[in-house]
Amino acid sequence: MLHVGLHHFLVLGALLFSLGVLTVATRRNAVGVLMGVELILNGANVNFVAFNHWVTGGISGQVFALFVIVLAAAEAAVGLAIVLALFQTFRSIDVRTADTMRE
Amino acid sequence: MEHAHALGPILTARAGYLWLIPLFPLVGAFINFVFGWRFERSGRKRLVHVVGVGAMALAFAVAVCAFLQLRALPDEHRFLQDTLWNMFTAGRVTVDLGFALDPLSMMMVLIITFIGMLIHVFSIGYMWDDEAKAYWRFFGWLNLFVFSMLLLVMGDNFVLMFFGWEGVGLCSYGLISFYYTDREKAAAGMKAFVVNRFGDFGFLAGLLLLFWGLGGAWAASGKAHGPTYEPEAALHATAGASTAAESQALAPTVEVGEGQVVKVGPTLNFRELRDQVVIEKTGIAEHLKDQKVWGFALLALIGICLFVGAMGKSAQLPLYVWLPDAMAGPTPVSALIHAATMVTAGVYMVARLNFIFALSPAAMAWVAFVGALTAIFAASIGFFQYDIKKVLAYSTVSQLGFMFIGVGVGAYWAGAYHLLTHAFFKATLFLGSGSVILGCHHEQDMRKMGGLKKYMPITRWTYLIACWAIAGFPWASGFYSKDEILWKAFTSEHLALFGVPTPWLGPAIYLVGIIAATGTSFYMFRSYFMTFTGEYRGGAGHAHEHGEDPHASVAAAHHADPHGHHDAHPQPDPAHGHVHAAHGAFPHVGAAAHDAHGAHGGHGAHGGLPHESPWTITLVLSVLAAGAVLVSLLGIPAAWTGHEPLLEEWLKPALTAEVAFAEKPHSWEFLFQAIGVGAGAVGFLFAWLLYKDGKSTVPAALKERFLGIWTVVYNKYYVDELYDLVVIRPSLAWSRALSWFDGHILDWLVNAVGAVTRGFARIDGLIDTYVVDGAVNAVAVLTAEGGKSLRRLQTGRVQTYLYGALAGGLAVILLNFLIH
Repeated sequence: MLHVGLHHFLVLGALLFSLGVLTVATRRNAVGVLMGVELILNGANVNFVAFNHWVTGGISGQVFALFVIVLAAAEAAVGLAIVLALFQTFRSIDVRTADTMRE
Repeated sequence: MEHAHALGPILTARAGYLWLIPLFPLVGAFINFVFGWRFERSGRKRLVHVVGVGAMALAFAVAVCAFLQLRALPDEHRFLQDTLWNMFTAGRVTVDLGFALDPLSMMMVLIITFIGMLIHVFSIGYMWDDEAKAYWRFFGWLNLFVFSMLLLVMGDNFVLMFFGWEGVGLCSYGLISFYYTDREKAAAGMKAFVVNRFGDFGFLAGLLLLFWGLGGAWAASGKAHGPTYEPEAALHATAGASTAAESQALAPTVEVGEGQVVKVGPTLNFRELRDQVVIEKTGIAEHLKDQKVWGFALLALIGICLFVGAMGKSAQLPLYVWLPDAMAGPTPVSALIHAATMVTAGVYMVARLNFIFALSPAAMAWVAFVGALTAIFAASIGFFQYDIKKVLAYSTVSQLGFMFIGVGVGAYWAGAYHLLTHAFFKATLFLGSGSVILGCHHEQDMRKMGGLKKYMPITRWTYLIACWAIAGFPWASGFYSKDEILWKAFTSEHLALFGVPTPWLGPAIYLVGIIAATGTSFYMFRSYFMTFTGEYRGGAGHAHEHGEDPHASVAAAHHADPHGHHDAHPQPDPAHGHVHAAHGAFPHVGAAAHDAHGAHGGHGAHGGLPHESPWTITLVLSVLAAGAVLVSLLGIPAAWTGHEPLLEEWLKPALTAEVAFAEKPHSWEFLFQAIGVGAGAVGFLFAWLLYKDGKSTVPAALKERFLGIWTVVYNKYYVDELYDLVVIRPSLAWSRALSWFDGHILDWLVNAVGAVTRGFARIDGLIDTYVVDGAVNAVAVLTAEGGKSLRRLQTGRVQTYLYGALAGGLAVILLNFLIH
């Protein structure tokens, strides 16, 4: 019988974080990048909830996760606004086109 | 040395006014130098000579006061002292600005101020119309000269004496070169100055030797009290004595009698020097006698060095050459400086230091020996000179030789007496020649004179009296002084040459002296006859004699020859005519006698008849001629009266050195006086036969017969040429060699150093350019290149930065693992 413990959740969180980082680092689509950010945040959320359940007890981890979800929503709103501004400027949401800060 | 009685230290009497004597001429010189030209330009020319003569008259008046005070003192204590202030103190030596008069310097002061005053008066007439138009300059220099001369004789220490010694040299230079626009005359002044420098070097060396010799080991003899003298300590004792009083306290002393204490050791003060040397108890004289420098007796060396100084100033062989050239100055200058006063400074100095010279027979012998040689040498040159002033110049050299015979053989008073008589008769002769030169319109060649007795009776008589005096005939002063000198020379027996006693030297000097005296008589009467008797030869000129003049060719070959004097004169140059034209325009002092000048105001050449000079000139001549006779009263020999001569008695306190003379009966003395008169008579007779009225053809015939000898003597034995060969050319060659050395070796060295430096600088420059600048540039380039390459990192893409952040995070994590 598979016993599900803290380690599984931590591995899941790390996977989510890693996939998120990979997405942010490699995606050319600005919306994709934002989605990668969501993955990173949620990887962190898994950790919060898992540590709350197995280590500290109580509900502070869950509450923290809720705050992160709210924060992620706000961040997505600001991020999408930036994407819109990006599109208006460069007629593209490919992040590689926004390289006027070069040199 | 045997003394008749032991001598004590000099007691001094204070005379707080002595400083006035030199002050007046100094003030006179100051006024004339600073304001004189204004006086002259604004038509108050008279003020110039009022100041000049006034200063002299005041100085003479004060000198007479001093004489009266000095005479009132007892014999032994005749010493007036007037110390103004301390000039400087170094260790145990103090030098005061102090004046002292003892009988010897009193005599000198009276001569200087009295004859100086007369010559100032003479100058009024002589210089009034002078072509140089610098009346004020003349009187300024003349007053300054008198000041220096008074400093020389009155200073109570060697420093003041040396100051005066150099001062008279300077004034002599200024006055010989009075007509400085004339190259020849300017050169004559320079010659006098340079030749005197040689003498001054000897003088200074003698002083320093004396100063050095007084220090030393005598303190060990146990006679001195107080601090012992340690040269090293004295040299470094700058903190020891800052005032004269402290210095006095430091000086070692010797007790010589009841409460009498004498300061010993190095000193510059005459009285201190005299006291410690003369008083045997101090042991200084012995100490000086024992000392040797490089094997030479110190005293002989001191004496000879000091005498070298005297040689320069008093124109003795071989340094006499400047004096004949000094005749380039105006005639009053020749009379005052180059006959009566300055040139006797050497004689005065030897007489002043008689106690030093008397300790060294060798030094005395040299003095007398050189004096005798000079006397005859200069007299022989005087035989054939045609320039009246040149005759007198050589006569002066010769007479100075006589004075040195006197002080050399130890007859100090006789030397001083001859100095006095010579001052009178030579001043008369020079001023007489000045009067003649003025009367003959600046003609100095005796061949162009003649017959002047008709035109210038006063000048003629005074000149004749002075000739009488110098030739050594009785009842005029020269006889008494010259015979005393020669008599003492004959009887002297203590002289020594090279450390060997030479009793024969005295008689030998006598023989030379008597021949020189004969010559003196001859050339003086020759000048008298050529000038005053016969027919006036001026105007016509003597071109034929000029043409055969062997001197002319020499002068032509030797362009710098300063005695081509009379050759330059006959040309009627325009300046000359201008001067005579100006004669009428200026108001003349005592113009009555000088009106003749106005009458021939327009003449260009030497036309016009001679005329007697103005009264200022004839008056001075008369006074001086009277003096030349009257001073004989001071020296009537003891053989006549049984009483020692007045002047000898007067000078005795100052001339303490006693020198042994052979005792001879009075009859010998009379015999020698007769010989002296005979010598003068022989000279007179020859002159009378050969030159009376200028008619005799014998002189010309003799000249033809002995042309070779004549040429040599006429050209002054080619001594100037010899100097040229021995001194001037080697000097020039040496200077050329040094110049070459400078130009080639030294410059080469300097250039080499310069080149090396430049090379180094170039290398340094390269290092700077390539190494230092290169390093700086390299840093700059590296920074720029580094920046340029790092710029690539700034892609502007967010993801690239993210890679960086991730890499950084990874690195931190890895590092964390590594550290643990």
